[in-house]
Amino acid sequence: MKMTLNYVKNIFYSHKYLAVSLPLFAFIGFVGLFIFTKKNVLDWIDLINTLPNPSPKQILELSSVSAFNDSIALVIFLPFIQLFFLGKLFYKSYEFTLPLQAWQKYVAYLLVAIVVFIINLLCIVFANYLLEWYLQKDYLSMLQKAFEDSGYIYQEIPEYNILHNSFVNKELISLGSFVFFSILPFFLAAQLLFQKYSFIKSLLIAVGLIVLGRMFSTHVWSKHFTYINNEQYISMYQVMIIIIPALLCYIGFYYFFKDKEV
Amino acid sequence: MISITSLNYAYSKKKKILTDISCTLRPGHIYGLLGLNGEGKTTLIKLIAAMLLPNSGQICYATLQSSKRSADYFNEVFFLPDSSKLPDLPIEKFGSLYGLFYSRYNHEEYTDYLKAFNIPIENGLSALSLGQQRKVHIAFALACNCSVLLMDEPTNGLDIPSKTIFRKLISKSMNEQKLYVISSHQIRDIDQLLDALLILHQRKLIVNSSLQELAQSYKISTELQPQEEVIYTEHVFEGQKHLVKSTSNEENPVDIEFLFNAFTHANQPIAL
Repeated sequence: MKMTLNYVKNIFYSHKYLAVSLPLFAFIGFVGLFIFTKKNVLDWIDLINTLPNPSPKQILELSSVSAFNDSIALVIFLPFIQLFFLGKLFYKSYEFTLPLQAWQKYVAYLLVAIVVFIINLLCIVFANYLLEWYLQKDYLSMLQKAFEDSGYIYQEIPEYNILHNSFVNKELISLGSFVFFSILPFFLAAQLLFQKYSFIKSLLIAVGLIVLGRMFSTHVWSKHFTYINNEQYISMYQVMIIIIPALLCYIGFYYFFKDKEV
Repeated sequence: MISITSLNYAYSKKKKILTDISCTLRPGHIYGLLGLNGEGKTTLIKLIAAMLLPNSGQICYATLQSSKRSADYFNEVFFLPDSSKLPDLPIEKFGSLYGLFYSRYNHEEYTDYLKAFNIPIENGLSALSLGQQRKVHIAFALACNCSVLLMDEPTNGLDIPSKTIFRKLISKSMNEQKLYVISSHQIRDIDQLLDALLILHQRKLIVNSSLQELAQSYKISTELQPQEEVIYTEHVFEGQKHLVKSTSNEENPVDIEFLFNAFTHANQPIAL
């Protein structure tokens, strides 16, 4: 394991730019996606700040804006952009012929992916907290007052609201991790098998598998699940249909990698 | 010692590269691997380096099989490819980080070799030209002290003084436990180093001999004696140059380029 960790250290040392690019991409991506999907919040802030006396109705518009759950896309996809360099490691002779077993290199690549994923996740989680803090600092009391002024004494700001944005972080961690680690083996396999356009090809493979899965789901499974009495099986199949191919791909990648010719 | 047994390799069914190669490469020798373009020199080196896997047959270093790609095998066999694009690291750090994986890596030797090549050690690798990166890679390859060092066109990108330094470092680092294989088209760059020849031709290994054996078996002559058996004749500026069977056991001067031409262009295969 010591050698594997040394190799992980080598990889990060040779890609020091990650220390800057990881938070930079995360924050630029966060701001960009927020502007793209939550423009109504920016318009609302603009309106509230320009009007001398905004009406309670105008203020309460913010209470109907849901939390920034689109940020899960950043948790899932940004790490893959950062991990493109892994494909180059598979083909460099001085990396390929390092005195390490194939499984040690494989574990090292997975550890690198995990570290990149966690750092990116922390950046997005932090950005969600920051957004919540900013909105609460300036507008929470204003919104609470608008509720009172409108006669909604017992009504509270919904839990899944942009003002309680950190609420989405739970989902980012659980669902984000699940989806990321389900796609990761396909991404690695595509990086290994295709030197050119590996990301596009890995996306095509993933989309192809999703389409096949959906076809199986609608044409085979949906018609017959009533024969199964166990409720757990019915709910589990949606997860298993992702986990099983991902696990097979994790195993398959190891053998592809072990016997890859460079 | 590297032993190659009945090795076959093809990139596809139609594109066979190496057929039934068998040979033994012994420590204490510097082998020159020669062949025309596309004859499979790089393929053979990559097969020994375990970057490619044989279709059939096997390559072993002692009891370690190349196809297993074990850490122990890679610790004994180092591959220097024909071009060097190294990671973005400080030069000295590259040695200490990557050398960690090689059991006989010597950092002092690494820095000495770099000094010999006049590489400013305090620089980063990304600041170096491709030729300078090549020198760093050569220095690292030698400092790893692997039992087998496979070099594909090692003098590619080296300036004239560096080629001389390269030869000096190879001679200095060589010992009875090591085995070097150098593949090159620039035969003048390496001919003084070699003491054995491997020649690939038409998918076969047609020569695997020490230069001493070749010097005892063949003679290059410009004026033929009546009893001499001509194997190959080449027209040169001064007239004709012949390769003839040596009748005595004396060691004759060897011209590797001429020998290579003789073995690859002779009308009849030359029996060794």
